[in-house]
Amino acid sequence: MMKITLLIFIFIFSISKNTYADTIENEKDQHFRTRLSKFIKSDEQNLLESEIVFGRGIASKLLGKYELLKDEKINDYISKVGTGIAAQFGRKPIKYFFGILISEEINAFATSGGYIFITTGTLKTLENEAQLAGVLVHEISHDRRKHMIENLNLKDTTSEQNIYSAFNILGSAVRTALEKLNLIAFQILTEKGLPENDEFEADKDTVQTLHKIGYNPYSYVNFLEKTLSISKKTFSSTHPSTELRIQKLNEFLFSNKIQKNSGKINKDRFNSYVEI
Amino acid sequence: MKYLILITILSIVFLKNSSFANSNSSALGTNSKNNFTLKRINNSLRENRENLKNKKILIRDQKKSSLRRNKRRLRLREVSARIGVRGLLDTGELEKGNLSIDYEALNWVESQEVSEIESIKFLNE
Repeated sequence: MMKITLLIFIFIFSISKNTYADTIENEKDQHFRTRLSKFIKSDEQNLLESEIVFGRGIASKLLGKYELLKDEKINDYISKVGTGIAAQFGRKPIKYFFGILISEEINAFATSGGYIFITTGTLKTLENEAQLAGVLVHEISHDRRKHMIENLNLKDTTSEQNIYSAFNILGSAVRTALEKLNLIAFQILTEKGLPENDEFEADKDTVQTLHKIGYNPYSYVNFLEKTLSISKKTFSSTHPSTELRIQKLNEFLFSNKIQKNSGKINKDRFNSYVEI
Repeated sequence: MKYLILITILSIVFLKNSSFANSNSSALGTNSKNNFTLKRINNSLRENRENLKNKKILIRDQKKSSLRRNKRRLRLREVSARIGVRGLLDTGELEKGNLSIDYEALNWVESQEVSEIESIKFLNE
């Protein structure tokens, strides 16, 4: 009698235990799925955040190399022109920042993640707002097309997310690899320059965008022509042959039947703000 | 026989209560759920404590390496502020030695934010 009772009791207990275990498993599974869905949803945001962090790292190096011009009047003017363009042409989730670097070199930089810098040498060479807008559109185009990321082979189809996700891992090996990549990106910006095709692509975007937002696209070509005439301190160190760029742009503008005197140049406003 | 029936009834009651508690735990917040949640909280607390410990070790290591390489005193607070996603690159840059970085200037650039709407109006003036 006692044996039967015990058997029944054990049987019922085992059933109850299984039911409880299943419930826990289900709950765990649900918990995991919720976490996974959250991860998937935020992945795109993580990607962008990582790119900004990466670009910020390059920007800090750039500011370590060049001194920053802390002139609120000029900076505000350039930021307004740049932000106005970026709002229409740049990547929507990215917040763009603009800075002026004290250097006689005629150059401008776009670290990934929305940091755009222009040198005082460039500002001295510029003659009007349309030319300034041209230089800024060119740099925003590099950012928009993720040229830097592409050149670092971070945008290799499926590996993109994995590499970006690596930013969030506190592993020393991954950290070192990313630091090296950051250094390579800095060298591309300041020494090697982006490939010719990327520059041509950005140039094409520049004249198209200038025309679209109401600036004279030929003013950008004029600026390039001016840099060509000014000694050796031109874009040449990090940009392809200026002659070739001018030639390609003229061909493009001609084929698209864009009038030479179309659009504004805002020379007076430029001169009232930029006094270097 | 009486005992057998009594035990069976008691067991069925126990089983019913148990499954009811589990199936409705999320809605009712019964004891079993509370116990389960409590376990999870304890586990996560333990994990957090371990993570914090690892971070402290990391901060200490970074401080040591910075001191060694740059031969200058670096404030612990400065290093700890750079821990995390952002710190991954920043701390590395400190280790580069010959490369200089300027976060003060970068912060200034970031502080010069302008409104998008105002900027578009400005362009159209």
